[in-house]
This record gives sequence, structure tokens and C-alpha cells, in this order.
Amino acid sequence: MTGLPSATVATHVDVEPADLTMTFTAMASAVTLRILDPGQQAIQAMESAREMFHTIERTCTRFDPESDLMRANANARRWTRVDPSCLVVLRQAFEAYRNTAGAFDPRTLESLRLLGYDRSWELMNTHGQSVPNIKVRRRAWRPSFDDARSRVRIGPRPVDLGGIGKGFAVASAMGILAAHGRSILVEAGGDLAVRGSGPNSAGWRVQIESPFGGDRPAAVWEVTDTAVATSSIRRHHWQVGGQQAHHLIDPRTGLPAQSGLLSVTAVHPDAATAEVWTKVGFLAGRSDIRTMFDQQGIPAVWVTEDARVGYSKAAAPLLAWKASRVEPRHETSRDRNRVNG
Amino acid sequence: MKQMSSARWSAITVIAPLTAAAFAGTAWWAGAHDPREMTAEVVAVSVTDVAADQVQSVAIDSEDPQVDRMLRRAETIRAKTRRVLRKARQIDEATGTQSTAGSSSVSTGDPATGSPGTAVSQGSVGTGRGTGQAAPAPVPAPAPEPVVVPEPAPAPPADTTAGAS
Repeated sequence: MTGLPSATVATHVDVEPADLTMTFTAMASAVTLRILDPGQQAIQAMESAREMFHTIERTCTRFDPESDLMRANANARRWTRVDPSCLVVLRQAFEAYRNTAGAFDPRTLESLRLLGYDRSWELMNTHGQSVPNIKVRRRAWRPSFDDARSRVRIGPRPVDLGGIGKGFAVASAMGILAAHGRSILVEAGGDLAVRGSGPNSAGWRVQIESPFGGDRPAAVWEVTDTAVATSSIRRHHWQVGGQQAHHLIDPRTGLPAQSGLLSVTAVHPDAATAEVWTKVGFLAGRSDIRTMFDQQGIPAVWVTEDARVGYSKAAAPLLAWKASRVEPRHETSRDRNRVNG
Repeated sequence: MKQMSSARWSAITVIAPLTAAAFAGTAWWAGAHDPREMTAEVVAVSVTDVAADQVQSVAIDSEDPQVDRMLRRAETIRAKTRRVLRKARQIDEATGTQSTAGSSSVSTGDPATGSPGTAVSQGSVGTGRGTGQAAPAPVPAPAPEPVVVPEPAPAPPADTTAGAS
């Protein structure tokens, strides 16, 4: 969750534009805020949303030992005073942990560090490390929160808020922008939220990239007032001792999940929760993912290692277009270097 | 009861249709995290904090119809909370721990007559190790038949392309 802020307002505002867009970089992602038929305070709201992104990035990053999250991780069993933004995201993570019976478990920081993902992705050495010896003693996560003093006790296993922090930022940005236009889009890497009926009044059409890259998508959603999150192991993967590693850690083993899946996309009204379900989908694995999403009633699309595209039952009404397979191909350096989450 | 002017609520009504997380995030960003401050924004946070069993009580009293909408939203969040608590209890039963849940109630005002609405929640949730027997593992449901998806025409133009993280 790093990146220098750079903001541009892409449209003129003195003629009451119908389409207002702001782009900037936060949490190692290109962030887009878009408001159709914006109100008079839309630009101020965008500035506020941008500032909020950077605040969460600053307090919840795992790449700065002085961030609120990393101070709390270092203190483990002792109370640590943190910024309210960090406290809110930690609470969201704990709620997701409980709500998924531990399938979503953010206590993956030590595994990521041992696997070499100990700095922002663009700074990472993606080759040449030895295979670490990772053993997980899995115990229930019981953090403590003190709202009145904005303090937290995380517990002995350090927490990574990368995915859920970005989902939370997207959800919160939508909250800030919601009243300032007819239709709104907030997008940050793999997390996206939409409100209203989009440019063509039929819903926002959201294209899901193939994990193999290329122009042909895996699916196209047509959605309103919801969020879409995608996790993929093709975007962030590297070599450890000659073996491929990725950032989606199985909390049961502490190792990269062996799921038979390349990407999982989930739709949920809340962006942070959508992000959580993509991770849970990965852990369910190829054999169980459809059953899991159908039981939960969650719209989802996934791509398997052999390039097949699967859908949950709840996805059907929301899909404007869908493929049964994507074209497998070797990724290009252009694909790998895309800063997208 | 805390009286609030509609001016303070004008910022809240915009987030009322959103989810609990967006609700909390927006209210937090409005600078209202401390639940001891009973401003409108703080009430928004407090409702979510009730969901996380951190707040003992929340009380709202206003004739503003926007408050009424807010309260109905609070009830939605609280219903979601109850589902989470049920789930937590199921987990506890399976793992031999115990949870206790408090109670909550919400009444909404009548926008037609302008009568005030109230939201009150009391209670706490805790977990402790119990001596109960672990529940039997659930039997997984049979997987549904795979959906056969015909190869479609080229993808239609999209408003945005979602990346991945």
C-alpha cells in the first residue's frame, strides 16, 4: 500500500460538466473516481475521498514499520494507540474473520514476509530466494478493541490489511461521493464500487479481465449500486527457490493457496466484503467454489488454471456477457508491469 | 435523548442507502469517531459500533424525516448484526465456546406526522470457553450441475475494466 499521490481532474469544471473524473495513485493502484452529472460540491468531495485513500494507505500499510498497523503488529499483546482509520479497518477485518468462520484470516503477514513479499510490489525482487520453512499454529484470532481510546491489541500473529484496506477505502469513498452526482464509479485496482445506472442508464458495464491478459475479457457485469472485487494470482506472483509463489495465502498452511484457480471475482454491496469473498473463493478451490458461492447466494465468476470460466447461480442476472473459456497465453512484460492492485 | 438539527443531518442522508462499512467509513471521515460525542455523524458510527458490540446504547430523537430514514437504515444494520451473531453462536457451538448477546430495539418516527424516531441498543457480546460438545461436521450439499455456457458474441463495450489485486 504505497505510492505517491498524484491527482488530476480530467474535465473542465467551469461549464458544469456532465462527466467528472479524478485519477491518482494510492495503495500501489491506479484509483479512479468518476461522477456523472456532478453536483456543485463534487470536486470537494473527490478531494476528500482522495485524502481518505491516502490516510488509510498511510495508517494501514505493512511496508512502513512506523505505520499504525505495524506498530500494533509489533506490540502484539499490548494495547497500541492507532489512528481511527486503522481501528475501523482492523474491526472490519475481524468481522470478516468471524463472519466466514475463519476462512478469511488476515494474519498472513509473516508468511508473506518469509516468502519475500516484504516490500511494495514494484520494488520487489521476484527471483532467487530460498524456500522458507513455514509452519502455522492455528489458533482463534481474538483481538481487542478500545474505541474510546482508539487502541487495539492485535494478538501474536501479525496482520496484513492490504486487500480489505483497499476494499474499505473504496466503500468509504463511495460513501463520500454518493450524494454528489447521478452515477458514480470508484475503482482501485481489483476493487470497484458503482452507484446509479451508469453512462447508458442500463447499469455500469464492468469488464473482468482475463487473468491471462489480452483484450478478450472473462465476463462483463452490468450492475448498479454494488461493488465488484477481483483477486488474481497472475498479477502478483514470483519465484521462491524455483517454485512459483503468490500473495493469496492459505491461512491453514501459511503457504500460497493451491486452489486450481487463477482469478475470482465476487459482487457484493460492500466493496470490502466483496474483497473478502474473493479470498474465501480461492480457499474453497476449484472443486468447491461453485457450491460455496451458491450456498452463500453471492454472484461470482472465476477462471481455472486450464482457462475455464465458471459462474455462480446468482451471477447470471448480472452478467451482460460471459465466456466459457478464456484464451490461455503467456503473459507479457507489459501485463506483469501493469500497476493494478 | 439527543436533539439534532436537520442541518447536521444533511450530510448523513447521503450515505443512508449505503452499506454498513461505507456508513462507518464515511462517518469516520466526517471526523466523528468518538462515540461519546453524540453528533449526528457519531450516531452513524455508533450504529456500526453497536454491530461490533462496543456501544452500550444509542439514542436519537428528531422530527426530521431524514432521521427517520436514518433509523430505518440503522435497523437494517442491526438485523445484519443479528445474523452475524447467530453465525458466531453457530461457530461457538461447533468449537465449544459460548457467546452472549444483548438486546436492541429501534422504532422509527412517522414522516407523515413528523413524530420522532428512536433507536436504542443495550447489551454486550462476549466469548468464553465453554464445555459444550462440538457439533457434528455439516454434510456438504451436493454440487449443482455445471452450467453450460454457450460461447457468446464478442464482448460488448464496457464502461470500465476491473483489474485484479
